[in-house]
Amino acid sequence: MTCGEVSKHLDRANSHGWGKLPNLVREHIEQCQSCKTLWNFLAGQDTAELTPELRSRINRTVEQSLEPVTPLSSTRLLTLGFLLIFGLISAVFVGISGLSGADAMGNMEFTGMLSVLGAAAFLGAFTLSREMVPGGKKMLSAPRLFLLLLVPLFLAVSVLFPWDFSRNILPDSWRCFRQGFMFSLPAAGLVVMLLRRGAVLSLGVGGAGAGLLAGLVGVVVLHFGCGMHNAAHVALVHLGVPLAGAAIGAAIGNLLRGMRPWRGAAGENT
Amino acid sequence: MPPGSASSAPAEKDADRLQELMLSYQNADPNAANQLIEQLSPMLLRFLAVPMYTRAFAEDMLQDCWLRLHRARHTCRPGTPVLPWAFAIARHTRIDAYRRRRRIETRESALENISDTDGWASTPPVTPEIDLWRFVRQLPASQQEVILILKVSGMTLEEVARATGGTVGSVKQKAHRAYVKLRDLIGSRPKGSKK
Repeated sequence: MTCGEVSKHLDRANSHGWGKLPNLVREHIEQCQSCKTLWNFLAGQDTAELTPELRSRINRTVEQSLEPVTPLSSTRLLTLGFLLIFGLISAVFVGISGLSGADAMGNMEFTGMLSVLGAAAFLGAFTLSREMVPGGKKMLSAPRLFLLLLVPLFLAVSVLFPWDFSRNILPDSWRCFRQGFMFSLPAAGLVVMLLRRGAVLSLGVGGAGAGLLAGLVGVVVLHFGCGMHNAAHVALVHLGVPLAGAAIGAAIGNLLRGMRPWRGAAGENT
Repeated sequence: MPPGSASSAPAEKDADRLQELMLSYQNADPNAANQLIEQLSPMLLRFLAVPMYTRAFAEDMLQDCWLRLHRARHTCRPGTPVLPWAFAIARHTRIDAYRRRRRIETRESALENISDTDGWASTPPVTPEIDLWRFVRQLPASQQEVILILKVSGMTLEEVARATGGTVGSVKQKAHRAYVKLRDLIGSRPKGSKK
């Protein structure tokens, strides 16, 4: 038995207790001074008693607004909700802005890009709905998932659309970007409304996710409406909309986090 | 049998009970709310206080934490463990409080005449100093946090991963690196035992 093998048992020192340890582990701990010290430290009861005054302060805080609440919907339903917002707002604005871009596009470009956009929206919706519940199970952190969502989009653009450096993309870019950004604003509002039903702990991450998903609405509308199918234009301008959305969302989220009221002593906001 | 060997944390034995209480709390049962406060607060207070905060500041953080728990109580879904949910919220309360305190301290240190009647320093720590806490403070912040939650809550690694928003693998790695470092710091291993 080595100290390293004992480490596995130290993880559960506080919940399993001495009695549940295998004999070999117990023998090692009794002989090894550092393992013994570590075990005693981790297994020892260590909680802080509440003073009656603090207990009554907390009770008052809770009892003031104790009303029945309905548990939050499942992650699946919330994901569906975000996807509905994404689909509906996209459909409305595609109807308004027209299909001139889609008409001029090949089947491969059209369906390929739309599939990747759909997958990205699903991933974004799923990540956001997961962020609404504190203490949920996570395979990947939200920032990594958002990155995972953007990489295939840029790859798809670079593969599906031609790179034409002879044409100046700048004159139409600002108008295109502004349009895409404006299309994404109503989606952002609805996404935030749904997001507020949960308890997003990291407002920066929540804001970035909301901005990203709303920005994807702008990309879809531009995909259908914009006639410039140059990879450089699509990558920089169209995909710039969700990137800008994520950056603005993260900035707003972090700003709001800094403005969160603090319940100081005696429950007074400071 | 070493001291502190008895099972102490309510994490495993009371997990079902906590879920029942949470369900009643969501249904606005004041008794369930009181019992939840009784059961969770000592652990949360310890978590919020260690290793650098004073009792007064930790108590304020605990009250703020309960306000957040109360507002977010609908997000604790039936059948999901309560402790990782509560510790995830407590963790963010702690991070926010730390940032706020840093801002205040930065602002205050810009002033020339700062008196030493500052509340943080004059209040005694939550519990008397345990020797090993000195070593724990030398660990990187992420490792400190994992050790602290494991010690205070008795949660499993998977639950700690839920509470900290990480993966089980990363939590396990942090815990085991912390053990190695702590063993090195304790540095009093008998010659006979293997590393």
